[in-house]
Amino acid sequence: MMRWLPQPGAKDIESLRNLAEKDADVDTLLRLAQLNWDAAGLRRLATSARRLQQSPQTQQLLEQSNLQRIRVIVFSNATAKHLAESLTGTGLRHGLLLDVMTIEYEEPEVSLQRHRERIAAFAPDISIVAMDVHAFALGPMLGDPVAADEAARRAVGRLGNIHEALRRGLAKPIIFQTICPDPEQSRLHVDRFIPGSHKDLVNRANTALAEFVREKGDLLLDVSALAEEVGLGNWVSPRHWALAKFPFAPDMAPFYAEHLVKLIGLRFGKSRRVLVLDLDNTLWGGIVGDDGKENLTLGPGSPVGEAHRAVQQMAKDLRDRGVVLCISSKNEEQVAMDAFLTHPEMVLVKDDIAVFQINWKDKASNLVALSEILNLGLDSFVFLDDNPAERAQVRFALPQVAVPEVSKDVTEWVSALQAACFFEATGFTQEDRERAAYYRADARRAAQLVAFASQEDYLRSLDMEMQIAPFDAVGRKRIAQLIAKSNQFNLTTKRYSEADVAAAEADSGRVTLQIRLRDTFGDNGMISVVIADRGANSLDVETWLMSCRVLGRGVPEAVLDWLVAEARRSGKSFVRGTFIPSKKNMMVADHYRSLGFDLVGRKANGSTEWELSVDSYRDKSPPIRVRDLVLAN
Amino acid sequence: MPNDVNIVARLQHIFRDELDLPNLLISSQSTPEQVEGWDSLATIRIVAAVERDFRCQFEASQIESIQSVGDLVSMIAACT
Repeated sequence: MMRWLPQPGAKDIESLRNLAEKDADVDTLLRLAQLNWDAAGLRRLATSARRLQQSPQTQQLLEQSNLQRIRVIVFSNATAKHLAESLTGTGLRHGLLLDVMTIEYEEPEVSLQRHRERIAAFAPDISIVAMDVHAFALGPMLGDPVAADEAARRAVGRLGNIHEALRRGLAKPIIFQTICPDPEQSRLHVDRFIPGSHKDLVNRANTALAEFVREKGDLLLDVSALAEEVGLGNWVSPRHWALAKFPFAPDMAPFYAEHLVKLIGLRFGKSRRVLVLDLDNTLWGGIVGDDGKENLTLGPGSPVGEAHRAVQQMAKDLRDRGVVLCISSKNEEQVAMDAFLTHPEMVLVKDDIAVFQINWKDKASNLVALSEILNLGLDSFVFLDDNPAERAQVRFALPQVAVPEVSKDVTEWVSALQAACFFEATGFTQEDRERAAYYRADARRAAQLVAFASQEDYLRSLDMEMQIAPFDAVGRKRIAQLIAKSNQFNLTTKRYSEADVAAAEADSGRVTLQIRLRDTFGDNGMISVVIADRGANSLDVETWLMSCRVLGRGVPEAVLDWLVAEARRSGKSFVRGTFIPSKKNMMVADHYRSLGFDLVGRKANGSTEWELSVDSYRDKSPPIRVRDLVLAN
Repeated sequence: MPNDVNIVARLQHIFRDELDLPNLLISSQSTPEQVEGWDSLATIRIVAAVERDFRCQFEASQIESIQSVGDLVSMIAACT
């Protein structure tokens, strides 16, 4: 259930407890609200929000946070009081501060009269008519289609009266809901054939109800679809209906709230309109910069290839509903665009995409640029990326962007994303089909990208540990593989066979490093290789390559700290490096400059020589713990 | 089989959690009137937590007749 929401970890659970019991703080509250909480968690979020509203200092902070205050009144024929906290807690996930009043066990028309003053004092902004199957007389009228029709018409008639009374009394928007069958009524397969069976009556009622709501221009929460998604047996709890007239099982409350709150937000201008897509391992299987366009996994013939095609098709269908599609990918623009435009299995085409952001900057900066180019708020964005570290960076920097959690298995993505209903809408017109095209920007160059001030916090949260070890027999195959495959973050593109790698390992005149990186998401394995010669008074780096997957995390800085330390240990005064340009490695043309080296030579073929003086060097100390296994030997 | 004192201690933990009252003290004599926030809806939540914690399954008739912590203790003692 709600697999697109990130699960709270032990630290988050602890934080939420502290928030509810002691001091609430708005930023933490909004960050925690994005996680997949159960009813108890949502209750604590609601309590914290209430506490914030009561204290004058935090009241102001709350106002500055852009949360939209909305007062919701829920009319239910069943118990609803317990839902208020789930609604308020869930509201925080959607930029809403919800005050909820519930009126139970009565007809709404009656309640409007009896509780007129209380309701007027509450001054609701929106009404929810939460009536379940027990509110309608849908006991079977077997074999009587006329009576069946009449029953559906009567149900809609009642809703019409409720609608009238609410419009007259409150003049505010209304959300109705469909009903799911009563599990205590017959559910035989034959009932599909029999007019007037309970199954038939519920279907007729829902159809008539939907038509009525659509005609009146109100919103409809499809509870019948919610029950279908989790299964009627999970949705309804006969025990809880018997004990306390709960319309559905109490642990379904967060799920119900998530969907209802999204509709409420829709009524008040909160909607998602932009889908930003990564390329590698999202729209196709593989990394185009390393594998080459021909070796990407896309299209029929493999489950993964078909799954990536399905992701593209889903995006294309969204575009037909007016959702704006953008691409944000860390790649060489030319390489990625060539694959996008010419790979024979691509479903998406250039015209489907409003803006392409293909560069080596971090994703959050790119999203900010997109927001400015499109002139759409970040709270209308959804960001889809296979890389958990990228997802975490965006969540940290831009909590208002929806970043779905996705499985490692791409075959599960599309059904999970459809369940998330990110792009809920109030209707559909032919104009929606055209809308996405209006946003297509001709200029595909990125607007000014702002570096993220809070990047340190995000990097620290990754809890990274790097292991530096000399070449050994165990790592040899992988080292040779990295040397053969790495084209982009590769300073000299020198190729070594396994035998060459073994020779380098044995050569005491050389420093050989295999570097592994672990973070909170798991073990990234070997992600960098360095080979340096011991010169007369310097360490000369002849090979330095790194996996693009760990760009922007401080790995080169940590490696340089180690190289300088090694130079000092062996009495060398300099670390030297060379850059040899190739078709694919222009991203590292300034690698040495950015690390503080001086340019000391340039050749006609474009290669450059660089030098760093060890005496004046100060450690860069990126937030990475280093396990040094070279010294251990 | 857990003894009664042990059961009350575990129940206190559950009550504190479900009622968001970190310093709540209860005894087997405690009743809903004496405990802030212990209404019928809270009883449902508390019973769910008890069923999870003690690995029991209670009947509706038992649940609707809970009038004190002592009643919960008896129910738990009977099922474990």
